[in-house]
Amino acid sequence: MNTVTFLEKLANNTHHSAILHKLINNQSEVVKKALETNDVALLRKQFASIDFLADVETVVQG
Amino acid sequence: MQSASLVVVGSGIKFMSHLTTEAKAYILQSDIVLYLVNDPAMKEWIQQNNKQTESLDSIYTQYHLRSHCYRAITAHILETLRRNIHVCVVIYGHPTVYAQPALGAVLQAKNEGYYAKILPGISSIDCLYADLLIDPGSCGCQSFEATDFLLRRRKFDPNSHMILFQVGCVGIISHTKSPKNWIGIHLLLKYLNKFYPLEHEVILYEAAQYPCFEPRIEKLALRELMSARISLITTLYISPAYKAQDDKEMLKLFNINSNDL
Repeated sequence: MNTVTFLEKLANNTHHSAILHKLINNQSEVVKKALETNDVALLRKQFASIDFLADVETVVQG
Repeated sequence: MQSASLVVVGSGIKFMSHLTTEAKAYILQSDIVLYLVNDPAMKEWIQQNNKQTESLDSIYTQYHLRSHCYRAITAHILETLRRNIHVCVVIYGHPTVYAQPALGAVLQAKNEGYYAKILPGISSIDCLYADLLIDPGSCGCQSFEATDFLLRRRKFDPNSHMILFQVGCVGIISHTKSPKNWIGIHLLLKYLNKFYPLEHEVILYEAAQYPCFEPRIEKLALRELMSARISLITTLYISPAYKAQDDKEMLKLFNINSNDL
C-alpha cells in the first residue's frame, strides 16, 4: 500500500478504531516513526514531489 | 446544460479528512483539474483521480513577486476555461482564505458570462478555532495578514481574539524558501508591544496536515517571539488582553442587565 492510499485509509478511521492500529502496524518503520513523533517533515520525505508553497519544514526564525 | 464552467474547491488542511463530498465530486468529474496545493499527498491523489490534471506550481514560481504569480495563475485558469470545458481548480485550505488567484478567476469568468463558483473548504482558521478551543463570538475575533497588518497599521481591538497569518514572511512579498527574517519578527514584536505587555501569552499554531498527526500549539510570552521557531505556515494567536467594558448607556437602551450577559 503506498503512502497516499495509507493516509486516505487513515482519514476514514477514528482514533479509537482497531483498523487504524492495524493499518499503522503494517507500515514502514519510517512512516511509523513519523506518526509516533508527529514529524510531518519525515512523512513528507516519502513523496517525490517538491514543495513550492508554504511548508512546515522551512524555518524562518530560530 | 452549460458546456463550460469553473468551480474552485478547497482541499482543506488535513489530507482527505477535510475534503468535502462536493469538492471530491468536482475533482472526479471535471474535464480538467488545475491544482495549487502544498501537500504532496494531495497532489498525488488528484493525479490518480482525474485523467486530465495540471499543477499550477510552475506558474506560482515563475515571477519574483508573488502578486505577479497570482495574476499569471488567474490568467492561466481563464485561458483553460476559454477552451469551453468544465474546469475544477483545487486550492489548499479554503480557496478564498489567503489565496487570491482563484477568486480573481471566478470574478472574471462571471463577467465573461461563464458559470463559475467557489466551494468552501476548511481553512487553517477553522482548525485554529477547534484546536485552541476558541469561540470567535465570545469577544470578537480579528485576523490579518502579518505584512498588511504592519504596513497599513491596521486598527484592532486588543480585547478581542487576534490572529496573525504568515508571520514567518512578514515584510516579504517575494518568494522565499529560507529567509532570515529577524527584522520582520522584531518589527512585529515592537508594534504588538504597543498594545500588549511583553509577558502577554501568545500561541504559535500550525494545524495538523495529515490524519493521526497533532497540531503544533506552542504557548509563549510575547517577548519570546524573537527566539521562537516560526515556519512559513505558522499562525500567531494572541489572546484578549483585557475584558471589554460594557457600555452602560447601551445596556440601558436595550434594557439588558450586564450580569445576564
